[in-house]
Amino acid sequence: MNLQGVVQIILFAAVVTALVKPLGGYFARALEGTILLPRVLARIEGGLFRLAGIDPNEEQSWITYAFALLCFHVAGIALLYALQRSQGFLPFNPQHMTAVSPDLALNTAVSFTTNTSWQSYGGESTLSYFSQMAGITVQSFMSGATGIAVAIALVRGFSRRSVQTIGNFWVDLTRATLYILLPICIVATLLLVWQGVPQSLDAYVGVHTLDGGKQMMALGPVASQEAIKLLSGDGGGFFNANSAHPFENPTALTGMLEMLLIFLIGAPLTNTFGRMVGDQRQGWALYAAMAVMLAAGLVLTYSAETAPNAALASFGVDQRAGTLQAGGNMEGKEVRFGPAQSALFATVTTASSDGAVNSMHDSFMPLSGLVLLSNMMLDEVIVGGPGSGLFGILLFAIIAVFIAGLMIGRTPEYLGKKIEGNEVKMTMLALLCVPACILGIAAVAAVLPSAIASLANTGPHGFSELLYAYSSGAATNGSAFAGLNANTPFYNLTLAGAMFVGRFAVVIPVLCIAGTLAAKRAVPAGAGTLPTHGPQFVGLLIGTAVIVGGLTFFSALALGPIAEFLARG
Amino acid sequence: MQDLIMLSLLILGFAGAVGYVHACASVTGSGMRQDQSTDRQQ
Repeated sequence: MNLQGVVQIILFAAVVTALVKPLGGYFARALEGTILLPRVLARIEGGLFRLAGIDPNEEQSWITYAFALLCFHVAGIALLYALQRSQGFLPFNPQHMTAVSPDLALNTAVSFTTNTSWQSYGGESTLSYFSQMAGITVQSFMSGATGIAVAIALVRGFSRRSVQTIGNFWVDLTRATLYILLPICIVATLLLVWQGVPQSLDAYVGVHTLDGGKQMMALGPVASQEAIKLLSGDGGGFFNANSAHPFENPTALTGMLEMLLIFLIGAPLTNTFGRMVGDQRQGWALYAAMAVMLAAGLVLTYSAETAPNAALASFGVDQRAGTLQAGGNMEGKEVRFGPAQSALFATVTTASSDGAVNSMHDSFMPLSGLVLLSNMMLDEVIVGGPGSGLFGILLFAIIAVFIAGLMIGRTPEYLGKKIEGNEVKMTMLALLCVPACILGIAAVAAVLPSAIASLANTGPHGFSELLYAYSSGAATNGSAFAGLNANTPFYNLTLAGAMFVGRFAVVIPVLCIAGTLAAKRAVPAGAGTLPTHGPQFVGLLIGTAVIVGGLTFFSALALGPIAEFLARG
Repeated sequence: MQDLIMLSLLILGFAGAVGYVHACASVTGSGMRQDQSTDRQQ
């Protein structure tokens, strides 16, 4: 560890924390429609509702809300699929990209619609500008806005009393897009262009290299996609190398900005939650739990990556920190960022549901790989994606109060609502479907010779590559460990299935919980009520997340990164 | 032909998700009748 690296990390944490309260307040007002809007935005919102025939005052039950969400997303998958298959006939295709193969098109369509952004393709060699703009970018906005909508619906379940409705999906989707995602994206796009990220519809440029060779420089409308890629938690790169590509992430400043964008919605939403339930301390308790888990993972990853790599040391490679190099394990890392920003970026991108990468996770040390896998396996409750982090940690909060209630023999309560059988059943359903999906499909892939043939490594590291792919897919992260050729019909279709299940099998029970909670009356807090805003609850919440979420995967992790760590001595 | 197979998979996924919504609703009884939970203290 060096001072510069530690300062970078502390600065990042300070900026994120400073933005939690002001942005949390803004999000609450924007989503509840109580914000004073400029006349032009109010007209756009009203016009969109009239055009779509939506009455913004008409609320929906959880079933109607879920059905609207499902129809919207299945239509989105179909549209993105059709767009990729027909891109050869569509405009803005200067490189004459041909139709994407059916299994890859389905994988990509499900990936971006479910806020995952798993990419079995290289953007610059597969998709036209039109597919990137009208397909990938649009779905990044929609999937991010959907996550926010679902989280707010669950928060309404806690904040409302004796009602059958949890909001209106179309209204929540519109407001999240119009007042949260779009304004931040416009500012972020301009900042990225200022730092050198291209925003162009011109064809790729051929250049002569210094050694006399010829090279194509891929261009495109990168900055606009980059902004929403990070903000929405989608994380799918315009280029194959993602944020390790100098046109996606040209400077150390853009590196910090990109990490900030990844957390810019998930972290403040904890404060939005606190405001909507009438006690901001409740939001700070969730944020504290997230921060402690993030810090623990980051300390492990950063210390593992700044230490010399024993495999390289045997070749006599100088890995000491000095004036010319940051030192540590530089395998798979950009020299512009070094181990500090790479470790921070990797931890942030797996703790959130983003999945953008600025270094190759396959080249991280086994302990770091363990942290990155665990972050995703916890269902990305450490800040998480827009909305998905909040509803994810609220699920663990429900389990935490349930366990506490069992210990003292009282009916559990959370925020004045009794947590009864229905809520616990739905919570467990949401929390178990992701592990079942990851472990089930990874187990099948691990014994299929055709699936194993796609791995670049054998032994524990090869198993980690396989496990990482399905963890990333089912937890809607989308980052790749690398070392796996996933563009085969088997991986494209099984990963598409994992992403579909990982998103909707969680979201639907969450909406169900919102519906059952909203219908309940409030219970006044008594002497036996567990306080849920203090350090005791934060500790209980972290323990629950680690035990319920983490231990489910312990045996699989033991076969992958833990075995690799122990084998290296 | 392959497009039809992919479309069938999507329809299957949608049908499964709709069935899942109804399964959740029937397990919890929500959306079908008024919630009967009470505020009784233990």
